[in-house]
Amino acid sequence: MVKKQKKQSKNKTGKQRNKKERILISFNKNLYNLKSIKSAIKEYNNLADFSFKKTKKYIQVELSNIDKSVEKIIKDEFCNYVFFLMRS
Amino acid sequence: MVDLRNNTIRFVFDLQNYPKEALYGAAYVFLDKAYLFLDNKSSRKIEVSLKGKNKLNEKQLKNLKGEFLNELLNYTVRINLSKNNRKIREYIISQALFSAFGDDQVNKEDEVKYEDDPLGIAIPWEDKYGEKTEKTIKKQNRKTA
Repeated sequence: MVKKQKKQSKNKTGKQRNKKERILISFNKNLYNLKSIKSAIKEYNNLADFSFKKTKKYIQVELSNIDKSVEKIIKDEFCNYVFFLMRS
Repeated sequence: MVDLRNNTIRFVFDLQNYPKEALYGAAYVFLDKAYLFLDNKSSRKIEVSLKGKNKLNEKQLKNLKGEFLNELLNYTVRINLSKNNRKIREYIISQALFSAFGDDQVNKEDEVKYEDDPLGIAIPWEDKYGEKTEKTIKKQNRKTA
């Protein structure tokens, strides 16, 4: 009997990642600063692939290829971490 | 607005009543308690989303909102106080720094040895006013009598 295997990519540390899941976070430019967003992306880089673009009002951060173990909380934790960096 | 499915409460407040620094201060305090997200609804109105880290019911979410607003008020008062007391605070600090800096110099200038005797305390009476004559002795005797 042949076992079916789901197609999943692995990151550098060998952890499973979810390719389909994508999360878009829009940070308002008046309330969040780009520097702390960039620093947060650096710190979270091993948990997902990040890309960001600037619009007139927002800095949009897109998360893809997210580590399965953190996919439920990564958005909220990331937003909190950006806040933390803004204050420090 | 309470969103039980997402374990979130959203509310809008006006930045005219609270400074932005107070908002950041309160948000920073809440980083341990909840997940926070801010958005501008208009130039002065800000929408705050508070999401519980654990599953919360409606009452608990409303309490979370109340605590956040209290913290916001707390920070607003602190900021206003610090603005009002700024001048006096700067004055006290500058005085403290000045006295700490000039202490050695002031001491050296003011330092007077007892041997110098600037008030002339060590000078004997006779040297200062001359020896007692018979007249002065008689005057003193009359006064005492």
